[in-house]
Amino acid sequence: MSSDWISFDFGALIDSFWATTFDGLTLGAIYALVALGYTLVYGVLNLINFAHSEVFIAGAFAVVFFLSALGFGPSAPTLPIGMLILDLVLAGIIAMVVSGGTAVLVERIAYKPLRNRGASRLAFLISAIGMSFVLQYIFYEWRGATAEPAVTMFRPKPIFEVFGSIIDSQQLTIFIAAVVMMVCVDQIVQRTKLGRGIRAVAQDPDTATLMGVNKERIIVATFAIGGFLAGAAALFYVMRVPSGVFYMGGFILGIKAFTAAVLGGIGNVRGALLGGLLVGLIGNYGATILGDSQWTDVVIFIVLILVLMIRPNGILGSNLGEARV
Amino acid sequence: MALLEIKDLEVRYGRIKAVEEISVDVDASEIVVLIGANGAGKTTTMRAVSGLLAARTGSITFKGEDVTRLKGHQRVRKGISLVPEGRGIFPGMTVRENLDMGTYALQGKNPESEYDRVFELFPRLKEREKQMGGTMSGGEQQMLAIGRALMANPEVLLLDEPSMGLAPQFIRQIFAIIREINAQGTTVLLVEQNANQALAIADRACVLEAGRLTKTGTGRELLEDSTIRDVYLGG
Ligand SMILES: Nc1ncnc2c1ncn2[C@@H]1O[C@H](COP(=O)(O)OP(=O)(O)OP(=O)(O)O)[C@@H](O)[C@H]1O
Ligand SMILES: [Mg+2]
Repeated sequence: MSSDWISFDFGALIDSFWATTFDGLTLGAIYALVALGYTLVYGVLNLINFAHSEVFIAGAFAVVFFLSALGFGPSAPTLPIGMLILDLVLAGIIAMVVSGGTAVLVERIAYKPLRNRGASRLAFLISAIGMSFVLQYIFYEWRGATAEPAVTMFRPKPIFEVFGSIIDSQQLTIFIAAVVMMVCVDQIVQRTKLGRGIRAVAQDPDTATLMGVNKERIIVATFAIGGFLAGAAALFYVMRVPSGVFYMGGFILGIKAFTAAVLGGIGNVRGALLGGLLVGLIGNYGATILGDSQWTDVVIFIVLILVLMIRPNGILGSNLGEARV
Repeated sequence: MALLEIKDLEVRYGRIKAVEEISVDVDASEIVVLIGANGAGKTTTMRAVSGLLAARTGSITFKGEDVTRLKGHQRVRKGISLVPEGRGIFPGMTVRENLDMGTYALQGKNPESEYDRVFELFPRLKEREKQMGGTMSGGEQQMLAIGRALMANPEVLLLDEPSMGLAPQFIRQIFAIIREINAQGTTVLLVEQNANQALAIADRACVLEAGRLTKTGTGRELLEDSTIRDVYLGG
């Protein structure tokens, strides 16, 4: 049966398999960074912070504004490499501060007052969704519906060839930087005193208090870490999708990142990495086969549902520090 | 002056009064026991003393300092440690990591001597250092919970029903260990349903009924009290 609204082209995937894979891993690394924010907060508060997508896009706006102010525009700048790296690192730091600050602000405004009053989980959920909308519409009122002008950071250069496909400098930068950051977060959670506090609050908040853990401080730190990672993700997102910054941009990416967190096992740091990469790959393969990126989300959700039918807690299980690969 | 003074404590859950007019003094190096039926308010009292619940009225004084307004995590640093009802083992941490959590409040102090003390009291914990807390048996978890509380080197150790769900010979062992900990100089406030054995090691004891203290005396006095024998000691 043939129809024009959907068609399957497996040949397209076979032809471009490795290129699709490398690009999927790049996108997946970005999803994974954002997914970590969902997962860490879920770990300590058992709460899906729906406003995390806006935490992310706030950082992306910061990147665009900062780089535009430095003269970056639609075509790649001609800067000495050292200057370029400096600019990008600065943009990353600014995005991390903006996203981290937004995350902490969301915590203070939307969740802490409810926590102090011992509100029900439903109240937290509504507050989370409400906060997400409030931020989205603030961005909308402020910047309108159209995307910010593109800022191109550099023209991707081929670095090496694998299986006949090029891996370029952009893919390599994003993938390596994101994975290094995630390994750092994993090590912080596993090895530092802050990490022990986070895991303790995640597993048993009252007992954590009895051990001398200041739960409120751990919660703020967790939101801040999630925000920093979202800020870093924002830099890489603008790098990969230079004209993707508008008020709904966070929502679109956030859904994928949230899916990644659930797929890997929400509350599980390594699960977020695995889930992110999988969502990146699945989405890209799906879009290639179906010949249209509109289908990406559909494919991702079908896979999510199938996985959750077999493993309801996600691939690696859903407890912070509990599942160890 | 008592080491720990609970004075006119009242705690509510919403509008429900769980305990009221609770006053207990715990002197340094004593074992004080609280007994009472299910729902009498024992856990509520312990959680209020350790700062997990706020006192509505009344005060808690420790070493002469009013700690009523201090948060739970600050009271550990003062030297008050609670082994909670249900043990509160971190299931996804190993035995060693659980013990490490006990040192969280020790800012910068070297806990080596604490590890030695705990492993001497509970050799089993040393053998199981790498086992996940959640996979330990109930009795082992109780040992771990007590050991972990000792890691903070508390001056007063609060124990909420440490014998709950344990086999008789294990219960005897736990009581022997509580005496040992006390002999090493740690003051103990113990909540128990096992009134017989608890009163036998108590310097002083109180009976809690429906949120109020109804009797206090030495352990021996309460053991010999006929109404207490009927209600709590099975006749
Ligand atoms: N979170 C809560 N919300 C409302 N009421 C509570 C809560 N926790 C305890 N209560 C009530 O407070 C009273 C005292 O409870 P508490 O747990 O202190 O009793 P207990 O003496 O420790 O009992 P047990 O021996 O069964 O452990 C009970 O009536 C109980 O139902
Ligand atoms: Mg109780």
